[in-house]
Amino acid sequence: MINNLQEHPEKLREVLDKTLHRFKNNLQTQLSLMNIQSATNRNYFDDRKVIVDRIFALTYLYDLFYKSNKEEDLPTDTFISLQSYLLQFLQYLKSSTSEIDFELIDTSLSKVEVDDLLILAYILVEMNDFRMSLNDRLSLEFGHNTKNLSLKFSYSSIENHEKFYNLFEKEFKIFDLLVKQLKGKFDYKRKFVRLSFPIL
Amino acid sequence: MKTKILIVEDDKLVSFEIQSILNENGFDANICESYNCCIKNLDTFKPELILLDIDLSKKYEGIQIGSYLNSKSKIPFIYITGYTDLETIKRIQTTKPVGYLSKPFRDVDIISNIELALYNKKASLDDTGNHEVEEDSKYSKPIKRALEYIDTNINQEIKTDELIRVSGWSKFHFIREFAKEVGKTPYQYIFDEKMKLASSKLKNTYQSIKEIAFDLGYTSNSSFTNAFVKHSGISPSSFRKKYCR
Repeated sequence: MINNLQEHPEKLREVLDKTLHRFKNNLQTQLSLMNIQSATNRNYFDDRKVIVDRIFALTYLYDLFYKSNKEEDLPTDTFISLQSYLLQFLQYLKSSTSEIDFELIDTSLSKVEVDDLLILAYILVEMNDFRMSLNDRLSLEFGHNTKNLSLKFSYSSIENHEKFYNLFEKEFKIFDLLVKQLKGKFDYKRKFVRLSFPIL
Repeated sequence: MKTKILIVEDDKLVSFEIQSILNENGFDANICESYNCCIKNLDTFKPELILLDIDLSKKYEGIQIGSYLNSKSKIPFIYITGYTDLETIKRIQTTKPVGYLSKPFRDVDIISNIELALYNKKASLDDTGNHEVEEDSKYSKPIKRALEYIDTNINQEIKTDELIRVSGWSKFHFIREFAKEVGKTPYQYIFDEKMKLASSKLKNTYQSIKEIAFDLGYTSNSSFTNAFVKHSGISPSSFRKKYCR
């Protein structure tokens, strides 16, 4: 790798420029989320935990991005393994509660663009805060078809998830913006809500 | 009346945040996510200033818009971007923005940049006020309407019949008056404007020649190349090689 970098310093420069650009955009997203929180009077159940979780979402992401590119000469794309990231981040969320169940169905080969994966992690952080405010159990199921990642989620105390939006109407703006950022679609069912994202 | 600001940004969180900041500070802000939406809003929303993300759709579409605004309108614009490398800064300078905001930004950064840009715009309008009046009165109202129509639709095929309709004159009267006031035929004027925009895109963007041809309303790469050679004496690819860093 070192030899390759010495042979292609301009390529290294390009990679560093892109990484710096991505990092600043990621920081901007963190700031935007905090500013939107105050602009929309979004009251989190645990503000501090939400911010810490977002920082860890970012940390794990860069960690995995760095590791997945370490063996190559220089990174050729910005896609990383969905399954590896989710396992790591969900394990992190579960380290502070036993009230999250998750299942990954046939996701071992799926890869997602780094920025999209970060937004997905922020969506999970929002869901976890909803869970804490309900003092409830959250179930997550990740699956996919050709181009779409599907995320089914449900809370054990909610009998009818068709009314999920009404339940969190005041807190919904950030969640909704994050889903739309990934061009995601909501599908409200009685037993669960399915989100479908065209990010694969 | 509130000052109208157009936010051109495809990151929904960032655009919503900026809109909240602007609304809180007494501006009327609208959001666009693409080149086409922005061009349409110039006409419908009529912004006084534009905040422009460089990396729209991850393909530098913001610089294309900047390039368009620089050559086609007098609306000041400020770039918002995470890019701070010298190459990008040099590239965006050629499109003459009135400001440059680096991400991450604070609300005070946005407001102070906007206030400064609006103040400078007002001052420059005051300076050139008399000159502007002279420029404006250079054209009759029907010709001005036709020129505005060309400006707004430069990315499409523009038919003379449409210009005649917009002017409200008869066909022969319009063609005669257009040549008299503008100094060239409608066809020649549209052709020159398209080529000016093509040159700017070739210089300032990474768009492929095929994309530029399509953006300017040409249905094939070869018809655009022939037109460009006729206008500039060299092919689009040679032009790009000659003028790009």
